[in-house]
Amino acid sequence: MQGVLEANRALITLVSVVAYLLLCVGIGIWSLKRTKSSSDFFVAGRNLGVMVTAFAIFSSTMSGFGFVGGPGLMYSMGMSSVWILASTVISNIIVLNLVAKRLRMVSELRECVSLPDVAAVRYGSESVRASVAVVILLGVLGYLATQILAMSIVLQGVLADAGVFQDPSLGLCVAISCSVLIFYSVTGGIVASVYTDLVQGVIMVVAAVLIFFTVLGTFEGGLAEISRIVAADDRAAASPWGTIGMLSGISWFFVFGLGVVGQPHVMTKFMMLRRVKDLRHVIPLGVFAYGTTALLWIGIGLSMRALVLSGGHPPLATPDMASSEFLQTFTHPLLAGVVFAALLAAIMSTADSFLNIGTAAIVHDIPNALRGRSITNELMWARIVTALLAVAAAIVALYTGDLVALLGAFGWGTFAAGLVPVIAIGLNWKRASARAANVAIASSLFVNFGLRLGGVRLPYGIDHGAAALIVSLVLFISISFLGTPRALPTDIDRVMDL
Amino acid sequence: MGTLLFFAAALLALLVVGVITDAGTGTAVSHPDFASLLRGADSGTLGAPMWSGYAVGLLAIGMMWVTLLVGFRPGHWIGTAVAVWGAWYVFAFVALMRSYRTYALGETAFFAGFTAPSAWLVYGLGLSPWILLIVVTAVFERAYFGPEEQARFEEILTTSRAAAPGHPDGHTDATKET
Repeated sequence: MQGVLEANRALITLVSVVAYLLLCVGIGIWSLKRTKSSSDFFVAGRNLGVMVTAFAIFSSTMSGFGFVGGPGLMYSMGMSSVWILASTVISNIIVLNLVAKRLRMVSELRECVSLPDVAAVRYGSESVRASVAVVILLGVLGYLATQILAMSIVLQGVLADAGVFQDPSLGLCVAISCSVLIFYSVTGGIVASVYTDLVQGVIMVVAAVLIFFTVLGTFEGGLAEISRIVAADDRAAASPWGTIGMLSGISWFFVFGLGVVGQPHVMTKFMMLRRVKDLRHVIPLGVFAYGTTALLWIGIGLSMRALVLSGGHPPLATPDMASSEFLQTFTHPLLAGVVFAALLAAIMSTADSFLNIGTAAIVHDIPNALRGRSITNELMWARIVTALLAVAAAIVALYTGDLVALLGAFGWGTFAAGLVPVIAIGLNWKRASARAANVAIASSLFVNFGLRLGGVRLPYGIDHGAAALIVSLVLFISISFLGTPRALPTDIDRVMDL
Repeated sequence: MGTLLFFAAALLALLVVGVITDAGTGTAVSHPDFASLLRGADSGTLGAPMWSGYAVGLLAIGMMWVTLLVGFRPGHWIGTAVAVWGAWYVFAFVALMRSYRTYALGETAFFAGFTAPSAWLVYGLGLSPWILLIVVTAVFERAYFGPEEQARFEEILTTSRAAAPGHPDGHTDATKET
């Protein structure tokens, strides 16, 4: 039996992936009837339950980076990227304290469908709405393009291994994967997105647990033996800093720990929750799912490093191959099939979130900022723009080379630097001013883009996003302190007291 | 906010001094046998002095701690609990740094699958906040958002919606279509 399964490993993977894609199409059709207004399309009518919201948040956060890039970082750098994971629990308590409750209340109070909406009513300023929308659009384009590229590369590998196509081109794989993504995102908007996220999240958690047990079995002595092998070769790699260095590791902890409250694809989900009090269950559930999935990140990455060092596996051509090589070589064929579907799920769940908030920025926020009102027939335009945005991101992914990587890398730090002060601090501090918000956003773009495009290397490899976040926080708080406080609308003022 | 500004400004000052003095240009090196692997330099610190690790780490934790002290009902004991927990988190970070110092001198101890300083990272900084999260979840209705807050919110909602058609207080809904 094992031999038969092993012989059909590629076919099993293909069937799993096709089944998963069909499931996404099915959810798209199911959610079509449930999407009747732009509010349904962007915030699911503010009617999501605990489980769906928690998994939507977790799935959007754990992107393809978590399944491919994360293990790749562990493989090439040792323990460095654990600083990103170590910030998960504390960052979610910060989310609960700073943002989730107030965001949910303000969004219901003023029927906001996007973060720029919330910023506009908080600061009473259309220029702040426009600034937030621009930051979101820039980040979305980069993130979306990287997710589409990753999705297509995964599909290319699956199709090639199964022998369905002789040599499937990347363009063809972009077309196939984008078609499914566009279909369910256009038909069902965020409703389809969050319900596919639920399915995707469950697949990811199950796959991660099973893979971690496989990892423990690769060496007698489990994780301790893996750490011993890594430390014997390079003590730095097994130290908490890994190879990236002490200050760089701590800067990751900082920018990922505090920066999560500025991630629009995550924060927007809190606006969709049915009841404020459900937050108490949503956050722990989401953190538990994320933490479980992180086992795959640590397990595959470290074990592949140990396997290569001990001669148990040939060296990898690139670090990002760590996951796929481990799955092809060390896992049961059925499990490999599930994990490949999970990998695609991780990527698509993040992509559909970005597609939705990017569409909101174009269809809802920028017209509101420029004309003071939304466009007519917003739902129809939302569907059209969703498709166009996905196509634009696919073109960026296929034809702009290194720009994709630059925009993708720049995304988290820019969102963190731009939106942590404006949204997270702004919703908790009545003195925060619109001018300070605009300056903080401008500085986040200037510092992040300037440092990266200028090839500036910060001391000891400190992350550019961390530097941009510090600069924008200092500017935001200082300018707000120096300015004259402006009275807030009564309802916003009272909600900020709750 | 003054405390948050203080922590952020101190971090910015350290960063500016580092840039001006052109500090820390070292990088990881390629593995001699495997091209896709990196190896650390200077025992993993890339030449950064230990005091800078303490300073940046404690300032970053300080900023997070300040943000944890927001959002709960004034006077509730959860405030004290968060403060105490902040002290534990500082202790865990200091323990990591001290454990790393021993590790860098050549002593290799393992704990639950990782080297000792890495175990402080995984279990101390990474997983111990679960205790706080469980406590926060348990007291959520009493300390963060209970029936009293829900009632006040509903009253604000009702008042705001009643005021919306004529916009007497100057606000409009964010989703108004033409």
